[in-house]
Amino acid sequence: MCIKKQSEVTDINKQKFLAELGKLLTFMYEEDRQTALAMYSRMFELAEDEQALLLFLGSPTRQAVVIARAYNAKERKLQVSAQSREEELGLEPSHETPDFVLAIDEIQREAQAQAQVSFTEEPQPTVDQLSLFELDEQPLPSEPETEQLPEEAPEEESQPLEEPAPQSAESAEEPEQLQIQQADEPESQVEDDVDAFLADFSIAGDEPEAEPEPESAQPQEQEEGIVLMPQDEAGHEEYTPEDYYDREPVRKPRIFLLILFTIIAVPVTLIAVILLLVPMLISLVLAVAAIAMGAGALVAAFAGFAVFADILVMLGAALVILALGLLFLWLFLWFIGGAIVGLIKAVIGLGAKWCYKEVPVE
Amino acid sequence: MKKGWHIVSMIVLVMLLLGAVFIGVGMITGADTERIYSVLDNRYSVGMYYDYIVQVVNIFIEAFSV
Repeated sequence: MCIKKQSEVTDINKQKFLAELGKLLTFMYEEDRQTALAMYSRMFELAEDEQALLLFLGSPTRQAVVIARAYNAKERKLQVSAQSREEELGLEPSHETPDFVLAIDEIQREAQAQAQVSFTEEPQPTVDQLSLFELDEQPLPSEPETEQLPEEAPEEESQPLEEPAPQSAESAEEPEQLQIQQADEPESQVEDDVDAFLADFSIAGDEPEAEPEPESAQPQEQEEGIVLMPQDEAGHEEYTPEDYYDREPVRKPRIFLLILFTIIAVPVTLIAVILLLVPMLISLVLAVAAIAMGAGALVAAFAGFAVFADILVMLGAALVILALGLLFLWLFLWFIGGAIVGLIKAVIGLGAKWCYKEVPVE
Repeated sequence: MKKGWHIVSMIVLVMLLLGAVFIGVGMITGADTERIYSVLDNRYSVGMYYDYIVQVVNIFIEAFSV
C-alpha cells in the first residue's frame, strides 16, 4: 500500500512537472514542444529513481529557461523550411539536431553524472511503433544506446511546420547556449531571466520585443507561456490548480436586455425617488420645528419661570422635544443617504445581474 | 447607516428618559400645568399658535376628505 501510494505520488509529481513544463513551453512551435515533452517523458520513464531526477531537474521553470536559451523560433523556422525544401527538391534532407534537443540531452547526461540518476536501457522500438507525430511513418532508429536518447528528434522535426523559409546558414550552434549551470543559479534569478528571454521569442515570426522587462525580487506577473509558481518555505515551487485555472471571467453585456432594462428601470426609479422625497421633506420640516420648539422651551425654562418645579417640568419637556427633533433629523439624513442611494444601487445591481453574463476566459 | 441608527437611537432614548425623569420629579415637587401654560401664553402666545395649528390641520382634513 505504501509503495503503491509512493508510486502514485511519483506519478502525480511527474505528471505535474510535465503538465507545467508543457504550459511553459508555449513559446515553441507545437511540434518542437511535443518533442521536448516527449524527451522529458522518456527521461522519466528511463530513470530508475524518478524522485532523484525530479530533484535534479528542479522546477519546470528552470527547465523552460534552459530550453528557451537553446531555442530560437526564427532559426527553427529556417531549419524546417530548409529541410522541407530539400525534400521537395528530392535531395536527402540534412537532419540537423535542434539545439534544444541537444540541451535536453545534455541535461540528461548531467543528471546521470551529477545527480547519479541512472537510466535503464531503452527498449528497442519496433517498426510498427508509432512516433509522437503520426505523420512520421519511418521506423525509429534502433540504436543500442542505453544512456543517451536516440536522435529521433531530427526525423520528427522534418514534418513541415507552418511557414517554410529559406535555408538557414546558422545551423549548428555549439552548446554555447547550453551553458547549463542551473544548479548553481538561484531560482529567483532564473525566473527573472525568463522574462528577458521570452521577450525575444515570437512564434509568428514577428520582430522580437526590444526591451526585456526589468528584474524584480519576486516577480508575480505572468508572461506568455511562463507561469511563476508560488514557493514554499524551502524555495520549491508549489503546484496548485488555482494557479492555472484562476482566470477572472469576462462580463459581456446582453445588449437587448440592457436596453430594455434601462428603458423600464429609469422611469420606475425616478418615480420611486420622488415618492421617497415626500417623507424626506416631511421629516425635515418636523425636525426643524421640533428643534426650534425644544430650544425655545429650554430658554423659557430658565427665563420665564420662578418655581423650580416648573423649571424642571420645562426642562424635561425641552429634552423630550429635542430628542424627537434629533430623531426626525436623522430620519431625513437616512432618506437621503440610505433609502434613495440604496434604491439606486439596488437597481444598478439588478441590472448588472440580469443584463450581463460572465464568460470564463480560456 | 446601521451604526448611525444605533447611536442616534441610544441618544434619543437617553434624552427621552431624562426628560421623563425631569417631568416626573417636577410634577412630584409641586409643578402646576396651568401656571406653566399661563406663563408660556403671556411670553410666547402659545394659545394663538395652538389655535393656528388646529385650524391648519382642520383645513387639511377637510381638503383630503373631499
